[in-house]
Amino acid sequence: MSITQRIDLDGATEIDWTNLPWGQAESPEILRRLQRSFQLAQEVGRIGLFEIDMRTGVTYANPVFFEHFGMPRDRMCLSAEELRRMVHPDDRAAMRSFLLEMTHSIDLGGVEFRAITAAGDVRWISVRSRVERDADGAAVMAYGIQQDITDRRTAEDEVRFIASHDILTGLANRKLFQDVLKRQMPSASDNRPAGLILIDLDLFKQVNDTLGHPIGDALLRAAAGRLKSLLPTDALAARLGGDEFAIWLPGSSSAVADALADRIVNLFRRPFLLLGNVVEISASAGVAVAPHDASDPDMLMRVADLALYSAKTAGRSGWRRFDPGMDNAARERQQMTQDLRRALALGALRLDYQPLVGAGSRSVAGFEALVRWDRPGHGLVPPDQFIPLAEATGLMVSIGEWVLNAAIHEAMRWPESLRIAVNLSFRQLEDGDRLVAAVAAALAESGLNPGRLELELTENGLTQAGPDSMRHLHRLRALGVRIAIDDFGTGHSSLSRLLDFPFDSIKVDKSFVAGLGTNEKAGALVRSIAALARSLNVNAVAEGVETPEQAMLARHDGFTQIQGYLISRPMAGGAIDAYLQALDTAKSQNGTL
Amino acid sequence: MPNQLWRLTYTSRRTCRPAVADAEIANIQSVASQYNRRAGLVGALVASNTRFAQVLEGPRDALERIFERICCDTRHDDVLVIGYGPAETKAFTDFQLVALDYDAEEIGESQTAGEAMLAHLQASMNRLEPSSAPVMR
Repeated sequence: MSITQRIDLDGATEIDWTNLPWGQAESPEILRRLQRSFQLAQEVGRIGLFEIDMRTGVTYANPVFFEHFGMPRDRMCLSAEELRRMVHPDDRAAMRSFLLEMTHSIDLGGVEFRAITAAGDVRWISVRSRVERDADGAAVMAYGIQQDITDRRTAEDEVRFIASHDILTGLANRKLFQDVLKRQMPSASDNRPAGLILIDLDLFKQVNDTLGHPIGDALLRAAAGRLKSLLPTDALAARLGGDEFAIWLPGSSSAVADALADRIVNLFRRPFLLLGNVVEISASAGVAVAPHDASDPDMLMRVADLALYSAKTAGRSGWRRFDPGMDNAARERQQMTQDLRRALALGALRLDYQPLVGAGSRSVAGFEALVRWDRPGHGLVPPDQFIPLAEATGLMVSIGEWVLNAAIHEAMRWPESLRIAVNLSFRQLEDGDRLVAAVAAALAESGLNPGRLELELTENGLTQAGPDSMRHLHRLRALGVRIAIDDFGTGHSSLSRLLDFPFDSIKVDKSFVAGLGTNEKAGALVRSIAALARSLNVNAVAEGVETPEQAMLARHDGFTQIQGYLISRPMAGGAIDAYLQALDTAKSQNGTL
Repeated sequence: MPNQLWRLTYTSRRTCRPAVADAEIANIQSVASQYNRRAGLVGALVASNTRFAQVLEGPRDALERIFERICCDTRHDDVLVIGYGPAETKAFTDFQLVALDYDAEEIGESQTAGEAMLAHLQASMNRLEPSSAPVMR
C-alpha cells in the first residue's frame, strides 16, 4: 500500500506526506522511530497504559502505570484482587460500578478514583478506557490510559475550600452553612430535632476601632477557636460575616442546643489575650430548633436571628431561645419602620422647639429643635422609641437631614441673635462626608450665619460613631458651626478621651440636674462639670431644670444656660413669635416697675 | 522584640467537686508541665480546694496560645486576668504546682481567698515586678 500522495489545499500549501515518519508504517525503521516517540510520550506525559483481560481480570500495563501505584516499574501484570486493593475503600463502589458498566453496557468510559500507593500515599487517578467485544457482544478486553491528577484535584479541593470557607478563621462560610442546612434540615423531626445557634460578639466594633484591625482579626480567630473547642461531632460552625457566627447541630435536642448556647456565652466572658492586649468582650446567642420553630432553613435562620436580637436587647452576654412572641415584636418593629418611612416621605414628621435661656439673665439664647412623630392610630410616639429604630434601620440619616433643614428654615424667621440647636445621631457622624456636605449645603441654601447653628451629639453617640468622628467634628467646626456634647454624664466614655473632642458646649443630663439640692453626690458632680466647662472656656448648660431651686443652684454652680420645663415646654414653631413677644412685653413691664 | 519575656497572672474558680479534685490536680500537673516545657513556659499554679491562681512566664505568642487552651478548659470558671505584660527577668526556673489544702469558703469571701493565693504566689517568686497591659472592658 502506497501512501505517497500530494494533497492540494486550495493550491496554497503542499504537504509531502512522505516526509513524515508515519507515512510509511510498514518500514521497520519507521516502526522503530514510532515506538520511540510513543515511549517518550508515555514517559514525559506520565501516561499509564493498560489492558485488562475481561475473562481473567488480569491487568497488563506499562511502567508508568505501575509507577502511579508506587510499584516497581518492571512489573508486568496485576491480578483483579491486587487492583481492587489499590483503590481507596471509599472509591471501591464507584470503581465496581464503572467496571460493571464497561462489561455490560458502554464501550468507552472513564472514572476518577483515589489510589492507595504501595507506600500508603493517596493519589488521584483518572482512567479512560475502551472495551472490545466478541461476536456475541461479550467483553473480551478493556484497554485504556490513566493519568495521575492529584495536583489538579488538590488545586480543585483548595479552590472548593476557599469558596466554601472563611479564610480568616477556617470555619465554614455562609454559603456552605446554608447548603448544609438545606441538605440536612429536612431530615429533622420531632423525635430527632436539630438546633441552630446564631452568635454575635458584643463590642466587636469597638475592639476594631480602638485597638485596630490586626487585633480585631486575632479576636475573630480566637473566637472561632473557642467555638470549635465546644463543637460536638457532626456539628458545623460557620462565620457568616463580620462578627456573626453560627452553629448547626443536626440530631440535637433543644436541651442540648440550649446548653451549648449557655456554654458559649460563658466561654466568651473569659478574657482574650491578643497581641499583648487583654481584651474583654462578650457574646450573645439566639437558639432555634427545627422542626419545632421553623419549617425551612430561611425561616429557621430568621427565628434564630430574632432570638439573638432579643438576647442583645436584653443586655448582651446572654442567650435566648426563640419564642413566637419575638416574632410579633419583630412584626411590630417592621410595621413601625414602614410607618416611619412613610411619615418621612409624606412630611408627617414635625419639630417642636424648646428655649435655652441665660442662667442669670433668663433671656432667650436659642431653641433646641426636637423631632415629633404623630403616628396614625397610635398618637405621639416618644423619640426614645422611634429614634433607635431609625438608627437600626438606616432611616436616621435621612431623618437627621430633614430635621437639619427644617430647623434652619424655621430659625431664619427668628431674630439674628437666636441660635438653633439640632441633634445629630451617631449614624450621621458615621457617614461624616455626607454629614459635612449636608450641613454645608443647608447653610449655603438658607444663608444662615453658621455661628447660629449648634449641633448636639450625645456622649454615647460620640463613642458609638467610631474613630473618624473626631476628624468629622473638626470639619464641621471649620464650617463655623458650634458643637455641643449632649446628655453629658450618662455615657461610659473616659473623660480624657471625651475632652479630646472639639466642642463649644456641655449639656449636663437632666438625671444629674434632678439631683441638685437633694442629692449630695449629684450636686458635687454637676458642680465639677460646670467648673470643668469654665476652665475649658465652653458653655455649660443644665438640662431638665424643673424647679426654681434647681435653676438657682445651676446658676450658683456656674452654669451659663438652662433649659427645662421651668422655662418652657417645647413649643410648635408657630408659637415662637408669641412666646418671644410675651417675654419682651414682660421685660418692658418689669422695666417700668 | 520577639524574644521579649512576658508574664501572665490570672485567677479562676474551680468547677469540679472536691471528690475528683485530687486526680484532677495530678492530671493538670502532668499535662501542664509537659506542655509548658515544650512551649518554653515557666511559672507556678496554686490550687486550693476551690480556686486556681497561676503565673506563667515566657514568649508572648506561647502565653497567648496556652491561655486560649486554659480558657477553653471546663474545670474552672470566672477567669480573671490580674496582670499581663512584659517582664524584666524570669521569676521561675521551671513549672511548679502547689496544692493548698484550704477552701475559699473556710477563709470567707472568695475574693479574699484569691488574694491569699496570690500572696502565696508572690511569696514563691523571688521578684515580681509590676507589669500590666491595657485592659479593655
